[in-house]
Amino acid sequence: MNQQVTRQILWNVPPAFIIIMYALLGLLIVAFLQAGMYWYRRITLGASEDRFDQLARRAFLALRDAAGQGFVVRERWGWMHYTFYTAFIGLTIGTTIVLINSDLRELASLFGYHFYFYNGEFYLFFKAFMDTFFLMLIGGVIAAAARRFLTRPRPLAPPPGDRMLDNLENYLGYWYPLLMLVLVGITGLMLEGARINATHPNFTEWAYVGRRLGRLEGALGAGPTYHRWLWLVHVILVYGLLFAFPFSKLRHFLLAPVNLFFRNLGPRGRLKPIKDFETAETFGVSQVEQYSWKQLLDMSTCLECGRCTINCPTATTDKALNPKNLVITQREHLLAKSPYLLAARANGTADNGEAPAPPQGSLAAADMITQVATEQAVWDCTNCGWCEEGCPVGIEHIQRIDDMRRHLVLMESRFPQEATSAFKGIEVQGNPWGIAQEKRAEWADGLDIPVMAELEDPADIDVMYWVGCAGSYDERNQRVSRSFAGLMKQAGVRFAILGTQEMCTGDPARRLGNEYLYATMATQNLETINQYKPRRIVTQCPHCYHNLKKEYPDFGEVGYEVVHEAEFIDELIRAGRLRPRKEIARRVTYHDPCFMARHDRKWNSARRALGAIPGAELADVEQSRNRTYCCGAGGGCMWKEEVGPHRINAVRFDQLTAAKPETVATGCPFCMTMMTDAMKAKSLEDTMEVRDLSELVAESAGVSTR
Amino acid sequence: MKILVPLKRVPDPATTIRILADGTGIATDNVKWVINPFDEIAIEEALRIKERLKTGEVVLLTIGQSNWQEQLRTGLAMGADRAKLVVNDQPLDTLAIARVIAKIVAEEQPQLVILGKQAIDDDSNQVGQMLAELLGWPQATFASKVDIEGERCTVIREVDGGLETVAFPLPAVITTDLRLNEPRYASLPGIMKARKKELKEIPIGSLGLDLTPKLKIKELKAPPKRQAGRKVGSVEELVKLLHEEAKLI
Repeated sequence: MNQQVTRQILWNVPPAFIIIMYALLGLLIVAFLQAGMYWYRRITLGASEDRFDQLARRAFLALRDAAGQGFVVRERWGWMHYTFYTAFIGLTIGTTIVLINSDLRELASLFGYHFYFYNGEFYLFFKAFMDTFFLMLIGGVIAAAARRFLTRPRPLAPPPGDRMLDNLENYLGYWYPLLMLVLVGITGLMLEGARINATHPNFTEWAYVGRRLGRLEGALGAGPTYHRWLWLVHVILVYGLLFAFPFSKLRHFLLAPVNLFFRNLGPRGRLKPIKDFETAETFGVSQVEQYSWKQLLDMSTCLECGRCTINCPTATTDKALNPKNLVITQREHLLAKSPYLLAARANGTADNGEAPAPPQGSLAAADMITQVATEQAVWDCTNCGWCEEGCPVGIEHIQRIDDMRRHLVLMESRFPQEATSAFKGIEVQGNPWGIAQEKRAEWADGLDIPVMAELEDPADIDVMYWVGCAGSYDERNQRVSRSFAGLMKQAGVRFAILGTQEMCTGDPARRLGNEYLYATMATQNLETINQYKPRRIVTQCPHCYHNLKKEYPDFGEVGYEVVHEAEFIDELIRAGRLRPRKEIARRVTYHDPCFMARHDRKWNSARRALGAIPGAELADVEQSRNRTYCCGAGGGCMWKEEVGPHRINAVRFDQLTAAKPETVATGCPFCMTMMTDAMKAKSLEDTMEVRDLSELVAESAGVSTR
Repeated sequence: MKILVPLKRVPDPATTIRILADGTGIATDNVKWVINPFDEIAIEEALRIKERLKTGEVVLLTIGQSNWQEQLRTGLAMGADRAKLVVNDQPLDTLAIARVIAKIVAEEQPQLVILGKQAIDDDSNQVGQMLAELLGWPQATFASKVDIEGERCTVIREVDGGLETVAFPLPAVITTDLRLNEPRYASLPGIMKARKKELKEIPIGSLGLDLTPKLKIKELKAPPKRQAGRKVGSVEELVKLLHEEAKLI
């Protein structure tokens, strides 16, 4: 019985058709190889970068996130993609099984291997699965097409036309791959139906779609001839789809796993240091080929889904920077410029001016920073990290933008005028406000806080308190420092500050592209810290936290652990050393700082600490935790004017008010400033307040900050 | 065109100035030093003139101790071509400074000397004027715009109540006001190149000048601390206090 439950593969298909099928397959392989070389040559125009460590882990993560579609389904509509992606993979595996049981079987039998498993119960299940996959493919693609062409959500807005190439890929766009996918699905089902209708097997229940379709086709007069020609149409459509993979936006199907394989496995949010200031001749990136090959691979992989823009503080406030448009236009520029770069490389004439030059005014000849990216876009970025959080294929945006900033600052000294005073302030007085270094510890006057340099034995302390520039100099944030210090005192923590020895970590300088100043500050601070060898450092500033923890190891020996105030307070409460007893009957929403939540995946301790306050009612907004929205101050934007029609902090404050809070709690001095400004700009200060979480816990624990 | 820019090292404006107990000077521990901001504007203007004319040389000069090199290097990093440091550790008054500069001008023969209208430490506002007198050159002080065409220079000056435009032939002395320009931030290649640029130290004694001060600082005093304000209950009370205590009305 089992022997009969099968079908004759390639039934009713004349040999000529089969020859066409295999000829196209051969052509397809050539096309894939050719396209592979095309992209390989372009990507390897980039500078070297080591992404070949931890190969096994890379392979596992690439497979998990590409085949598993984990990043894709983070957004609701990602399930559409999941549906037709799974269907496509399933159908490909199915076709391979058919191939194995037909031509490969014959080939194997020549060598004495005999097998055939396209029969029996397997065959029946197979039929049911294939019909299901066909339905998923058709349904998923129609839904995706409807979203793309009918509802047109903002992330799918087209990139700037003046910087897009007039090539096959852009011509095919997304309509072509989607059309092919759906046609392949429909003709596949029709073909199965036509065969069932023509051969009338008595075990068709499992092909639950095909048999119904077959009955319909039969009623319309279909026979073996119809089946034969439909087969050819289906095969041609399949190749129409397959050929689109290397030459259309479908390229991401092939490159996304590669890009995910080579993704950044280092600490999140970390920037690459410049190792050699003395002998290097250029710093940062002004020419597309100065990017690393991984950064060029990023551009090549982008599939233009626009997820990087969903929570992007600049794209959503209509600023010049739209991370999707940036990466796309940079890729188009790379593609336009690459023939000249490749020719120069081939001739070895890159330096003697004999290489062919791109025509004036062309995209190839455009200046990458000023014309492709635009300078304003380069300066807009707040480094909040949403784009990298949202990207399903592991594209790294921040470093790519910061590299251009480095070029502008270090090579051309061209940057927003306002940043000069921050740079000079850091250089001369060790803080971006440029307030006297000797006033750094004035916030602590009268609090009797020990200073590291005056301790008999620096090992006597539990934790070194790194106050940060804002906590030291900004009046509002000085109050936060006082309440946090008061909290630690009440909990019996033995701590000390560096006092006037503490300097800016250099973060504003680095994020604004001034890597030279940053390296100076990092080296200097590490020297100071290592004098005392603290075991632990606590800070209320997520930017200081990030630098001390993740960036400083590039500049010297780091023998300490860093904790954010939220973690530390949570730890003290859980250990029973701090008891928030006083009721604060307010509705509180926590604004997650990007450098804690997004770049460091930490959002629970702040909520636990706030949750320990009796009476406090915590309410989260949609844009919280790793989906938090920037306050507008990151990426050095605290130190320059915001340009554009809408203010980031105002947009963020509106999001927060959706939770109807009476108190907006923060864990970052710059978020504090931005949220307070937004609250005042909306004249809400009579009904609302912005407070640091340490202030709320301090109030509840009865800590005196006077 | 060769341009000489004399500059002075001053405490960073953000630094709290503390007077020594005996009133003879200021405490220099913990003081962060910078180029006098008006002199920095002078360097920037000199560089812009050189860039506009696409030719010339910008020479920096300072009179102080060896560690004033740091400020000269900063100026070189901005783009100046070379620097001279007249090494001195004796107190000099403004006329002595002007004499030293005049001597260097005689050696260097620049067509233009640009310097800050005053240094923000003692706010004397004298050196530029004295220098012009010693050299017998035209001077344009408090410049907010400088135009050079051939051997002729036009300067817009910021004077009380308005702007004054003066024109004069070169060589000349110009002192800068705040709004003349925004000084550039040195690029990294600039900083690297500055390390290799010529910086010549000249002992002040070798100049053969009589620099005996005609002016002696007798005492420095910190300004009185501001008194806390007072809230008054009524207009009548305010008028009474202004009349009887403040004696203003």
